[in-house]
Amino acid sequence: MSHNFLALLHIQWTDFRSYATGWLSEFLVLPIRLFIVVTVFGLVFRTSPVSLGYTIQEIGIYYFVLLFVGRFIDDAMTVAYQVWDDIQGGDLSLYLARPIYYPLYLFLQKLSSALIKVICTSILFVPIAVVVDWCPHNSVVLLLFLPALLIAFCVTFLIQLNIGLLSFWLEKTLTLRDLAWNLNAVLSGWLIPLALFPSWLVTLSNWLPFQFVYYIPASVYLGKLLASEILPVYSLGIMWVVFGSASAVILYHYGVLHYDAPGGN
Amino acid sequence: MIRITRIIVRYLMLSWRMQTQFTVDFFLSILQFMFYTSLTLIFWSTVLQFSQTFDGWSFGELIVLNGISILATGISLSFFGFTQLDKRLARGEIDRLLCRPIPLLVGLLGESMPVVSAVQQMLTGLIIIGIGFTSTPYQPDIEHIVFASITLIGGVLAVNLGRGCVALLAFRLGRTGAIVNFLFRFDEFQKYPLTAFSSPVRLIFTWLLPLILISTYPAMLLTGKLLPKGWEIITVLVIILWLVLFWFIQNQMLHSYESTGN
Repeated sequence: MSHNFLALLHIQWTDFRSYATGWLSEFLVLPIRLFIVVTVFGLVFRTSPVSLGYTIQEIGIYYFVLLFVGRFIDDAMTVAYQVWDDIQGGDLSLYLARPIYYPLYLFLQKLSSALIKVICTSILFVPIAVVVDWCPHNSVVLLLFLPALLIAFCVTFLIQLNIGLLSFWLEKTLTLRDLAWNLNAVLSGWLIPLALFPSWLVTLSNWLPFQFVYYIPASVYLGKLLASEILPVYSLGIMWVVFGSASAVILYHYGVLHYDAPGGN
Repeated sequence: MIRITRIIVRYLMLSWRMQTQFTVDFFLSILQFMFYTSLTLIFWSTVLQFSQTFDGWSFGELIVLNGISILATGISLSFFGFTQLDKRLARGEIDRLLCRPIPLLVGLLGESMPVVSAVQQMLTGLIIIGIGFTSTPYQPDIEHIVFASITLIGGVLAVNLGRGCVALLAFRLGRTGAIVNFLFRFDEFQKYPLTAFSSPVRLIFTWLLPLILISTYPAMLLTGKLLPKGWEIITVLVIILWLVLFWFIQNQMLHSYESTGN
């Protein structure tokens, strides 16, 4: 198993190096959103008579962490498309003919790619964070941030995988994926920190898995979660991962029975 | 002229059929797009909980601005072909277009136009502008609507001709798709009133990438805001500048193109 994972890691590294220029050029556009939100919130902070619960520096750090997490889960975001393409294009047959469990293979493939990206991203992000003093002053926070990052990856991967697996029954699942992306944009804290939302939306997001994608990692990094809150929050995240995995296993099991590859006589 | 119109209509019908072939997906895409546009409403309603206005813009006015931005994106989809120019050039498809008795631009843009998405975005934009006006006391007169429409269309033309200039460089440089896509990333700015940003930023988005013409100025006209002095001259100058640049670059690139189709 570990040997196979290392082989996948090697393949992903080779692949990453081939497209490294594209990956680097993506960094040029990353500050755009950061610049906009800091300007927007800067103006709101100057005119708002009430406290937002965040300082302008915290808002900057929040969106900075979002960019970092975004780089890490980038590949997991494309799983629905890949699964749809493999099922509808018939490429799934290649995996079925091999001693490979397709969902696990996909997970390890995306995880290895994410690990490479998180290391490379850190090389660029850490110096920036140090220079602008956006690093956490407590090393425990960094240790707690790593599981949050892993849960963010797993939740994203499983949402995408479950949508992709519906392609066994539906012709096209890409719009469903786009819907999930937009739900994710609101309920994960990507658009705006969840704490700033009206209370009913905060309650709703607390019951859904999307908050684990951006909001929880960013809150852990900012030290906004109390020590006593972290364990229950992570437990809920793990519960969503278990639920998503079980659902994917069931969908894949029945989907393969339903699968009808085109081609041949 | 009639022949070109007929060709464009044929392209539009083909695009419509391609995009509506998956019925469930088509209707889901409408729902999806409505939800996507509501993100803006959620964003501004959350931000304006803490402050009554944003740089002098009320909630309704910001919604009008976002509606105009979506409308502009819909119109911009007519120029979607520029994003694929380099790839089509590499595959030799431009030769195919050059061999035909139709203008290159008509073939290039017509073949790639996503009609359904364009119509969806334009309709949604108009609905959102309407929603915005329910929350603003100001109601624009015909004169302001006409000026806002001209500025919007001129702005869309200028922005896309700018992208087209970069795309056309593919005739010399090869792959330019990445640069065009890079320029698209700045579209995020059109969702916000550019008057709130510093003057260097405003300068960039007036002359280099005139996004100010496709959302901020039309929204200011429609909501009765005071525009900066000489905005009419700036608008006309920017449009002329990009038209001339595009015409010049297009001629240069096509003349230097050496291939069977040229």
